[in-house]
Amino acid sequence: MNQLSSLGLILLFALAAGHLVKLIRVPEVTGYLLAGIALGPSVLGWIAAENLSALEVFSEVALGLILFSLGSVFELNQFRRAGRQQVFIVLIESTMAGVAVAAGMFWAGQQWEVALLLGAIAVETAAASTLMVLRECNARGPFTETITGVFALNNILCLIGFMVVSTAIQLTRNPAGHSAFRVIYASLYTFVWELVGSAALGLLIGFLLSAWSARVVEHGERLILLAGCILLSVGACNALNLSPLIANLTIGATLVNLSNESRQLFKSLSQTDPPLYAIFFVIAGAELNIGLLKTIGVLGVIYVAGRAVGKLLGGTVGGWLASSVRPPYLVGVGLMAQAGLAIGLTGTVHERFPDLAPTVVTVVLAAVMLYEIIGPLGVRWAVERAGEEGPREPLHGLE
Amino acid sequence: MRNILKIPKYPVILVGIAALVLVAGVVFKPKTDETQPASERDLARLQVLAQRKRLDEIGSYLSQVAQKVSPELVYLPQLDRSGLIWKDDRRIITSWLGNGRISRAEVRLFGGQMSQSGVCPVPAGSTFGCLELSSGGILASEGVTIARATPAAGQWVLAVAAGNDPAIRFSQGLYQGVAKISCSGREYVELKSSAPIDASLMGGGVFNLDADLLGVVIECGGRYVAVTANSFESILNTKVAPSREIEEQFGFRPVEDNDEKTKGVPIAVVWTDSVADAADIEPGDVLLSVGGREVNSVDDLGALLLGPAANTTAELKLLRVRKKVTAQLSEPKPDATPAPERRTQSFPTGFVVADGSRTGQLVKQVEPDSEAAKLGLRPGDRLISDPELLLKASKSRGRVPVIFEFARQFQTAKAVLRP
Repeated sequence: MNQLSSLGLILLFALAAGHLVKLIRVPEVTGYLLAGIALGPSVLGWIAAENLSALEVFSEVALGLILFSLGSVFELNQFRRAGRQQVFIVLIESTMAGVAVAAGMFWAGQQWEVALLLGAIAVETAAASTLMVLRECNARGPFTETITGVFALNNILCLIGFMVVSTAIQLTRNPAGHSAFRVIYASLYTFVWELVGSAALGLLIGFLLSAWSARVVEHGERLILLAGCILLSVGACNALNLSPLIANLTIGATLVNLSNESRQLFKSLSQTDPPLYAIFFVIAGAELNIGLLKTIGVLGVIYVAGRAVGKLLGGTVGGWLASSVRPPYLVGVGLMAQAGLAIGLTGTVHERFPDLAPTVVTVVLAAVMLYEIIGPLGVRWAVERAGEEGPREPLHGLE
Repeated sequence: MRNILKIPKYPVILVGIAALVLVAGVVFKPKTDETQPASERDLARLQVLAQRKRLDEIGSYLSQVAQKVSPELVYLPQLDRSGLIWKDDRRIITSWLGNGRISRAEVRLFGGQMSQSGVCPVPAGSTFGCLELSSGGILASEGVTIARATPAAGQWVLAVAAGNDPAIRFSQGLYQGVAKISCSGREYVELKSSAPIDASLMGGGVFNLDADLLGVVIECGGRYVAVTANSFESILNTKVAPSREIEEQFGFRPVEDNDEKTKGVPIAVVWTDSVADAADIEPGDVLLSVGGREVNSVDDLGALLLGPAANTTAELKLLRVRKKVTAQLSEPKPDATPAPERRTQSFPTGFVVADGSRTGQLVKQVEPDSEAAKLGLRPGDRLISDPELLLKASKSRGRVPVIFEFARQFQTAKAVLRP
């Protein structure tokens, strides 16, 4: 099957799966992921592995758009009001999830490098699937506001944590026998470049978008401008080894703070992007290897359990102390999903520490397989429990 | 906040800073390490290992690679160690054989066939040995292929040796770079990896997953190390001095005597359990003739003892303190006794006055009450170590202990200089 028919099949299957899962009150995102698993190489094989890599570009653009719209949570006025609570919750839940997983790995006799890498990756909560479930439920209220801010910050914290851990590992190894200065410089460069460089790129493109958006009035033109900026950002990130996550979050944050037109822009986007998101989640599902569940082993169980306990406990404690969400344990339940960044980081582990990769990658990918299915269910359940579900509209905009 | 765009200087400043950050990032990008990241092929291979196979299957995969290289290895039963078939000739490289202690060795080839081999010379100070397969033995492989590319940090490597039981021994680990080391005064490049290298792998090789040779396992300063195949090959290809070759094959070290008045070639060192030792040759002896033919230089000696017309069981005439003695060279039986030790004796700190500065020079004069006299050096001794060494030791005012060797008529002496 060629790429275009794969794409068509993906969209139609996504739609059908979305309808089907609605019958059993499961989020559409889960339906898309399940459709992806069914179509992908690990089950039916209707989407071949080579088509998957060719369709990767859609995933990248879709993820860029999702993160761009997530950037809107950093509107300064709003963030000033709720930001402190969100930062507080993020710090507690991330620390607890990371520490629980790392401690469990130590206990299981793993090398410290493996334990710390898995601990750092365990912090991540999937922005895309969580955001999509919130959209789908048309959720609005204190829980939705809190959790959106929390998982946006959570991804940044995960990236920082991972960079600190990988820098530390590189420093202790120094395989090529370079001078300490060269090793520290090379490690810190990657760290600072991905954070500061990505933010700088996001700021530049965000300025361009904000300045230009004032002169664009038509819906179609807005879309062209948006698509141009996001594609430019994703492409530049790939070329410069920057983080598309931070760059696109920064574009969204810059736009929402600088442009009066930001609401129209985000609205235009939300009316047009559903096919892209459907493709994104079906591809994400197809890339999940269901066979990995068999290999999950003791380490996988420790990772899944440690992360779940850490997120639940940390989310509950954070929610309770911040007293913004009632009942507080919903925060933990809403933060279960894991995918995007975690999968991306396994690629980085492959490149930098090929010896640690077999363990880290097997554990994370098997856990992602599980968390991508139960995560959206958790978000949906938490939204319903918090009583923040709006009138049902499939994949409605964030607004 | 939204009014920022209306005040021209703020956006300009922010855009300027952002652009500056990006430019600085590109300019100050550290040079990428040539060995990193690991080659695409190895990454793909690891991805296959990690995602498509269970973790315990990696072990069986590495075992297959180890099996693949095993035809390039031989087993030396008398010495219980491995050897590598070197390139496409009939040479076998193994760890140090001991000077003159072994002249022939049995070799078990891949597939179990036994063959005989003789010793081939290696350059002075080498901590490895060389055997040459006699014409009867049929090699199963054309020998090791040395990897052209430097391995990437973090890539899998396998240390493999031929064993008696089981037939193959191997340990796996990850390449961690290289470091310079010195073994018996000679510089090597050590290949570092997380693969455990121990006595069971002696004489074996370290391979990458493409079955190319990266390193050779030798003993260095009491520990087992892998030295890079490239550094090893360059040492192997240096020309072997005749004195070294004689020491390697017969177990005695002839030194050049520059004094034209004296006849013969002085012998500085004799190795225990060697051919020379069995012939009752002693350090300090002066070799006068081989098989009735007079020798006055190491080159003369080389021409008679080495090469195609060599007579390795010749009668030697020796001068021993104004008394002529004779010795008969014969071939010793190879065995697996511990490595030979030099006959040595410790002397106190001192300073020596020597005639000239070349190794093998006769000490003509020792100043009375000098440190050299205290050291015990006497006229008539011959220097084995470079006299420069003692000069350096004296300049350091004894801060650094220096081992200085010289030969006396009936023994080899070693003086340890200490503060």
